[in-house]
Amino acid sequence: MTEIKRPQEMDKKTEMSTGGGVLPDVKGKAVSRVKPIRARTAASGRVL
Amino acid sequence: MLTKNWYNHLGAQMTGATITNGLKDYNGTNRSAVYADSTPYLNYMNVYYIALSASFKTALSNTTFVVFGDGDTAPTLEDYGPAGEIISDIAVSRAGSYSTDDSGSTGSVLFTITNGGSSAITIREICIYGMLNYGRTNTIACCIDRTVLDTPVTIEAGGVGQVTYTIRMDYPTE
Repeated sequence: MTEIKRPQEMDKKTEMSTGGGVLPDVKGKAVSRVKPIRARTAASGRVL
Repeated sequence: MLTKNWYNHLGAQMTGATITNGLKDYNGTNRSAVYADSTPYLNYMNVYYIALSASFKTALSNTTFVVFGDGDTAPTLEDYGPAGEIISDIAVSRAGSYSTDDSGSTGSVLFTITNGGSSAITIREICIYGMLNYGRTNTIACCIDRTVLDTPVTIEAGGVGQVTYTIRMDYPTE
């Protein structure tokens, strides 16, 4: 007979604390510095 | 000249934004450019078909097609089709395979046009259409480029002509 035991950790409560710290004031913005790609089209023809 | 349809379609796919009235379909109806999970491809070099009937323009498929015309008004961002569509007496096929350069920034495709009518036709413009998203799963034919030929090509009755279409991306350099 095989007895399956629950891991002991499963019975524990997990508590998280963020403490009393103050997050740094992070400000910023992301701006693309990529130049736009220019696309050009052309068409030419001839009579065969 | 690439139309606002081209720019707004790409903008919607890249940002996920819905661009209200960002598209003008083949019929001139305003549509929103919408992001879709599976964006229909826009492969200029795969353009095969000419829309000689409305069936192509209304087909719900991921195809890209061309329309030739005889109008020569200057292209604008607002264009949604040829100035003068040629709708009869011509047969168009793609001649051979497309060509690209090593970087993929330039592609060209060659079309062979046969005039099966009894009078001459003059080709002055070429429009490329793609099926663009106006809903998450809804697509409709929109003109993504209208280019006026540098020199018109007149094909006599029973004659054959060729048109080479090229798109080139000028990548930015720092």
